[in-house]
Amino acid sequence: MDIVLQQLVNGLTLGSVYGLIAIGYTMVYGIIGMINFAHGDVYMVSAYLTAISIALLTFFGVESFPFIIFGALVFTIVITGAYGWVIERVAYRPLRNSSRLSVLISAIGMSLILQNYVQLSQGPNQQGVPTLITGAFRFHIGDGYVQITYMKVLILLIALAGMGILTYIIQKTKLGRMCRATQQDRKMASILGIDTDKVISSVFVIGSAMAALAGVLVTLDYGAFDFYIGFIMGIKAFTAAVLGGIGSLPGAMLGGLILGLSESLFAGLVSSDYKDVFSFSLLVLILIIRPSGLLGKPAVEKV
Amino acid sequence: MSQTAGMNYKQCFIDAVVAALMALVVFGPIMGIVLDGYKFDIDFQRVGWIVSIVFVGRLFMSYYFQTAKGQAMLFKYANNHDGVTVNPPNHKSKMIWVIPLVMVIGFLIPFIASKYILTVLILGLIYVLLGLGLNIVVGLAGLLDLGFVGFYAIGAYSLALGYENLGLGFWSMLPIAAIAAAFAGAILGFPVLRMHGDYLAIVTLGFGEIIRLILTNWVSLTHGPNGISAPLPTFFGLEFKRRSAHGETFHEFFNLPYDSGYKYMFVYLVLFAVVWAVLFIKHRLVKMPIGRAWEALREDEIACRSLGLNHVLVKLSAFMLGASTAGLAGVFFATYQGFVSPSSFTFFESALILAIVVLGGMGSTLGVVIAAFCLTVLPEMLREVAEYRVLLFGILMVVMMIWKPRGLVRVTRNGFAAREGVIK
Amino acid sequence: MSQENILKIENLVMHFGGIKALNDVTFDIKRGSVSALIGPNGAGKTTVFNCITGFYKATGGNIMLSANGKETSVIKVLGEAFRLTDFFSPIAFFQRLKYKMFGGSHLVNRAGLSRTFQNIRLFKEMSVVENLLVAQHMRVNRNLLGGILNTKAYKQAESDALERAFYWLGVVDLVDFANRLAGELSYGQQRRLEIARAMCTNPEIVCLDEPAAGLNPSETEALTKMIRVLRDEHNTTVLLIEHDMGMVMDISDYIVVLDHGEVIAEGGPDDIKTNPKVIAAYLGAEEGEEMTL
Repeated sequence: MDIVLQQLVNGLTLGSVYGLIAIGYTMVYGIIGMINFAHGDVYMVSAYLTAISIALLTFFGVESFPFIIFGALVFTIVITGAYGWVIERVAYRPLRNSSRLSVLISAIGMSLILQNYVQLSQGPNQQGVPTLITGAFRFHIGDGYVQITYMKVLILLIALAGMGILTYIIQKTKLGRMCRATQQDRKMASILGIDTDKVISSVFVIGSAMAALAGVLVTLDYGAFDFYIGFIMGIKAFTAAVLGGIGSLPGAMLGGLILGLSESLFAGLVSSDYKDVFSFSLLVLILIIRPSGLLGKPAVEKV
Repeated sequence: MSQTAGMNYKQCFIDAVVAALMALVVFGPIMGIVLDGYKFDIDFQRVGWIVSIVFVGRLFMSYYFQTAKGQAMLFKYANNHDGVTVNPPNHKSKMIWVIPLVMVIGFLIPFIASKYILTVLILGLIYVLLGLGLNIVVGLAGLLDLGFVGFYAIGAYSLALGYENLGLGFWSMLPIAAIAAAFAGAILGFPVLRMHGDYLAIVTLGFGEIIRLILTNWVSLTHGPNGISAPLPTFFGLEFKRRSAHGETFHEFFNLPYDSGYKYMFVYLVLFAVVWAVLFIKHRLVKMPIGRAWEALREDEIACRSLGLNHVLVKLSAFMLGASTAGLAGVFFATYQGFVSPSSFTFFESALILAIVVLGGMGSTLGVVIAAFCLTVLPEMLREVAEYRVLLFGILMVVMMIWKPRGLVRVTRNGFAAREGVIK
Repeated sequence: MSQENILKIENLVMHFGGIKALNDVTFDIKRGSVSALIGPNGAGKTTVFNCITGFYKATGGNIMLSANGKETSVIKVLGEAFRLTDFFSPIAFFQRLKYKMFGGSHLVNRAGLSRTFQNIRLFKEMSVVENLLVAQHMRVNRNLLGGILNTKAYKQAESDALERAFYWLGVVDLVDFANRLAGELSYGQQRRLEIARAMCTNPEIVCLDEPAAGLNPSETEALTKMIRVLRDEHNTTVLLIEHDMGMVMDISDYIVVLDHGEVIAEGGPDDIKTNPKVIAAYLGAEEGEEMTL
């Protein structure tokens, strides 16, 4: 019983992280209909940026951890956002009118570039950050107990805040309105005077910023990372996006939570060696049973 | 745009400064501050280099695209219809004499070349096989398969496991491995191929990882990360070992001194023959109804369905044939290494094979052969750049897609002589 | 069911989410006729087409195609959801499973119906002849071994396919363009090639979606002649959607008028011309007002 509860708690935080990254996939897919393969690697870059910013802040004598976390968040989000912008500008914009296959291959190329560039710059070894927040809430249940670290609580809170801000941007601001218009009909939106290139760029920036948020949180919690983490994380987050219905923002968050919870339960109760296999199998199953996902609209083929 | 306005040098400069600033923001932290435990080292020199390269490159680009030549290039790019041409009917290539020449040279190489060169060539030929297989899937049928390495692994492990558990040798496992890979392709492909093409990419990516994870974690069968040994081929039952437990060995039978090079020679020759067979089959397939159906499907799936083609089965046939080719390549890889482990089958391998197809040209056989040798043999020769390999592949994919999405070798189609139309 | 009607559409309903695109559409198409489906923009013509040709799975109703000597239910071959009764009858279960796994719009074509598209869908990077050869996929020798070894039977089948392809190129006047890429042809030529490609599947009924759109008057005239050839020399039933009223009235034996997802009139060209409902639908006038088309 306590194992189940513990795994549910772990799954909730893991799921909120998946949800944050899935947002990047789902927004990009919604607006230009491509799978941004490099997105997982953008997340990986943000993990490195987190460690770099923490190292820099400690070097300049910032000791108090709220400042460090705040500084790391700002630094990482801004620079990861810049990565999103540059990737779109360099690898995807010149291919706006090309076949889908070309764009996909370009995206894979970008993913390889990012991985290898980070590996060459920072070395192939695993890196880490010091643990900043220690301590946990403990709830005793029967003989065992469920432990919720303060870090996990922080992850949940910040992830929720991030999703809230994003929902506000998309629903209430002018930029959000332009995004939604471009998603519905890019050509028409550009006829109405919306600079769709700029909107697409900003979607990449927003998606990358969300991945950066996830990157900071996971890095702070987990501590260790290498240049290869983006690959698995990318597929997981994509699974979450498909599960929720690709193109749908609430779907991405919901899909992330469901994937995180089910994966944690599987790892805790069945086998943790095969938890990645479980997630991939889940992806295939969803695609077979309900390709439009939980909250997605079934696509009507244009003939 | 006309040239009367003259050069806008100010715009060039602004573009370049913006690009350089962006480069500073993006490259600065990752390249300039190298993590070392919880501390860091500073390396501003390489940041300086990369920023100046971006600055100069962007300046040059802005300038070039304002000249008449650059404008013409932009125009050509915007209206690019490069690539496909139709040959006149009964067209015979002037280069046809090259084929027997390459065959003869290729056949003679093992008797001249050193053992090292031979192993490099074997590796090159294995990638030719992989490239040809993926070319059917990506180039002809237009399906992006990112888990190709999974079928390669199935081939390689089939040989190793078949030898260990069933006592089957190279020759019996060669067809079985191809069939096993094709079967795996069918199981994966059938549910997925009816969906949108982009999903296929990610599902196959996941499949490649699943195969690797299973090979790593199913220790009782595969010995996990430690790997498993694979048998060598036999020459009419003669083994290529120094001593054999069962019967005579190759060098004893022919009264030759023992040389470990013989086995590579033999593997090379068998592989060489198989590559030619696959080349021939592929050459025929392209002209056959199934090949036409694959290409038609790549062009327009809806139109295909309206013509009575079962799109799922047509895609599946491409997927299975590609997978079986990868299975063959896997068997050769296992026997050539004498050993297989999960670390040989990472996503990087899939990316390398994809790079071969992209560089060689989607659908072009010749291009794939050349690209396979370029991308595998060259890095072997130039050890210094080996660590930049993946980076170069990535850049190659992006640049090729922007510049020449159909690859370097131009795709030509066969023409048909006009004839009397008859309806039966 | 009578053999006189090649296509029977009964109570066809199609919903997209909450939008009712088709609302109880019923009509029959006579064998050997040229029939037209007309109506104002947004009336649901193309939706009917897509349902008939199996590209949309209709929400309700029935479409029966009687061609190639058998009756085919278009909706059934697309694969339906299992029903409770299927679990008690293995035959019905396996049949439904078969269509669920292998069914789809290609079976509609194999049952003897082919179509063209409103926005032309050719295989643009393949040559004109190859476009027609792909269309004969179901009729050529698809034996892999035979093809690889280039056997006599395979060569014969390919040669027959080429002859048929050149026959249809002759009909649509494109023999000189046989070895050009389909994407290089002019708009009018592409439309004609698409019709030839549809005919290469040897259909008993061909559905043309706005075949005259974008053609100049002389091309339209040639098209009209071609459609007559299809009907008279090849015994092919033609069903078309068209906005060019002159052409529709000229060649159609039978016209079905759709508006707001419902059939508002059907009959010969002369009946339709004077039908007040049709006039009202097209001109937005009140019913009963005097107008002529």
